[in-house]
Amino acid sequence: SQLSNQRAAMPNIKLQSSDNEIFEVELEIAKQSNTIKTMLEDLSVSDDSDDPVPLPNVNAAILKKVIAWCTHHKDDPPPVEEDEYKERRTDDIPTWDLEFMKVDQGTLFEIILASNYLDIKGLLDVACKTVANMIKGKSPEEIRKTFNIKCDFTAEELEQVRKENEWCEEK
Amino acid sequence: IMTSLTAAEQSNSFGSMPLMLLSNVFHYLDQADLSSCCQVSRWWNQVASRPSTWKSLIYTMDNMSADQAKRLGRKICQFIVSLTIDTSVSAMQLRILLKRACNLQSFTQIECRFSKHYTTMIKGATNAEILAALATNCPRLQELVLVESSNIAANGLSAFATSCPQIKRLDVGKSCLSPDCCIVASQKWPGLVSFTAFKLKISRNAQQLSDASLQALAACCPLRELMIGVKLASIGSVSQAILKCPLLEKFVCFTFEKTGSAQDQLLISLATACRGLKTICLPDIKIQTTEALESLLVNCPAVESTTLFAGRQVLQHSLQLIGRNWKQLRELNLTVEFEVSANNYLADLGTGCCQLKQLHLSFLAEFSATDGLSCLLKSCKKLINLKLICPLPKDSSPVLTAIISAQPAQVTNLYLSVNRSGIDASSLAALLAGPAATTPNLGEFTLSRADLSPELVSNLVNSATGGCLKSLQLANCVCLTDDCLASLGCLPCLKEIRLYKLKLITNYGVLCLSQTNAKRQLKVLTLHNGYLDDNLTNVVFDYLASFSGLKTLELRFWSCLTDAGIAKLAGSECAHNLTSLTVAGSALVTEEAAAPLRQHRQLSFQYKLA
Repeated sequence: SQLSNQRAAMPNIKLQSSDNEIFEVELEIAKQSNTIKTMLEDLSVSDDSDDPVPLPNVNAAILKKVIAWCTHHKDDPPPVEEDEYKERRTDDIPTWDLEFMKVDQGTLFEIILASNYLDIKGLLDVACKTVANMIKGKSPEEIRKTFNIKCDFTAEELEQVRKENEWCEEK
Repeated sequence: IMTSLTAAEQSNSFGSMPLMLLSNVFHYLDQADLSSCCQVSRWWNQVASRPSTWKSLIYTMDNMSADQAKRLGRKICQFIVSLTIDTSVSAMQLRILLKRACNLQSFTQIECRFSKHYTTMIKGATNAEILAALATNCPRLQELVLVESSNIAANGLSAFATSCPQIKRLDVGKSCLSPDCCIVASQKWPGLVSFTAFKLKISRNAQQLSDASLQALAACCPLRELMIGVKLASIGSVSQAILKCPLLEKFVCFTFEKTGSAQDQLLISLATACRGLKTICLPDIKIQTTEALESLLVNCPAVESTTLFAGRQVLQHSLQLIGRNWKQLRELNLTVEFEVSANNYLADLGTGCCQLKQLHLSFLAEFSATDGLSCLLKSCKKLINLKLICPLPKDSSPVLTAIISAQPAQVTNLYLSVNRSGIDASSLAALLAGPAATTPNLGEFTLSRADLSPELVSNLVNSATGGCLKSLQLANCVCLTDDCLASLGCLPCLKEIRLYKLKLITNYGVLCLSQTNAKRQLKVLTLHNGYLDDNLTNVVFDYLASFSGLKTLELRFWSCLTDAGIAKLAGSECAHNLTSLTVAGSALVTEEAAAPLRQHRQLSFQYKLA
């Protein structure tokens, strides 16, 4: 009966990943995703419904990471709407998040896609800051190497782009 | 799209990242990095070249040459909404830059971070030139922030105001305003909501803000923010002006004079007229009576950030009143002159203001409410910045221990100066050896007058606190020895060490430090009260030379330091990464000392005699 009391206090919902794994999560944690929140409201899925919410764009491995992040940040104040000139700092990533973001690039990329799809602003911001930190201070060639990007410019185009951007090179 | 890519290409997904996500990443990059991104691939170039990426621009000596500015004029200018320049940008460069900047809304000037000596050679634009250039090109300007100290004449301002009628925010920095300037501003800018003029030392320029001009501004403009420095004698007039500013949300007032009386009128005026105040900063205006403070507390319930100075006659009961009335307070900087002995008042302050993120408490008189302080800290679970200056009696180590263990776990910035005779060893031991959870997030730690024995330092190095410490500042810690520096150098995350007035530290200490991993890891080093041997051999520079990662070096009060010493530094490995060097209080060093350091690149060299 103690267990059912707890459940009454904090209702859970089930999330279903693209590879059909089911995760049971506290409703409040899941609602950090605006996508899930809207889904629940729109579909008027009642809280005690046992049907899992399908998330066809997120696989189990990534969903697990996302839930871990949301669980750790469940008591954070709701993100404030920033004005147009929001701060460009990238050195303010909390220690826990820094550790959390120590993943391979494929995973990092998928976290960005997932947080965008699920509309979790805090996670998207911190993931984008992580990528920005990987770019900072690098030359174009170093950036290509870091992210394994192919240079698809022709020689003339590259020269042109280089000229256009000459003015703000400081390194 | 994903399925059409080969497996190898899929792992390179950052190359084909969707537009919105990639621009989200680019949002965090500066111009130089963005220009690199443009050259990575076609897709990255397309995303990084979008106008919205370039909306704001920072143009300083650090990151752009005059020639670059010319090219900028062609390519980007019409996108720019916000422009920041420093005092080194000349009138000519500015004119080129602004030529097409017809959409500019915000113009900010910042201090050039290179020395005066260097900037006088390049001669930056004067205020008159800036105003003229803006008036010609930027009719949509809404925000003007200046730091330059040249004069602003009323007729120049008037012409500018006619061309740029939409100004909402004006910060005149150190400029001398001619008396009629504020009258012009009040007549021409009906939308002015923010006015700042406090960076100037009033004593040097008495007519900075005349009583009449302040009255005119208050009467004509819908001010929401007012930040001023005034003479103490003008406080009565300021109080009058305030009565005409019912919309005020932020009020900052300096007087640069600590004495005087009858300033409570200012608080009463604020309480009467400005019910919506969110920020009140009166760092040197001493509150005389509990009643004045109370009226502010009761009538302005929305205050979120405040700096107050409560005089001797204010009752300690007012601490409780702050807690009861200002429940939304995020930032409290409070200096009290009265004696604090009642524990429950301090405890109530904490219970009420439990949202505090920053707390700076400075008790100038007798303080014995240690249990109350401990309760206060336990209530404020969101504290990040904590600064305590608090004269505890000498044998107070158990109490101090209680305070220390009560401080919230997420404090990342701690400043302790709690005892006239020093923080004793047992309390420090409690802080450092305490449960790992005590201060696991501490990044910045300042200790003043602490009894740091070698044993305690080794405790610090081995504690959970030490493990995450990034910045350490030690002042007046008389027991700290050279060997301690060797231990501190082993802190795994330490990037910054600032050492002030440590009597026992010698050259050998610098050598010890240079033999630890601090040698590569340290980015900021401050050494105070020179550790030079008196025969001017400058041997300490041999030790400093090996700090290869150092970016900022401050040498303060090295009485025997000479240009030869700096030259030695310039020739060493240490000079490689150095971007900022400060020499203060060394009478033998001249401005020219930094010349060899500048040969290769631009270096910020601050030089102060006092």
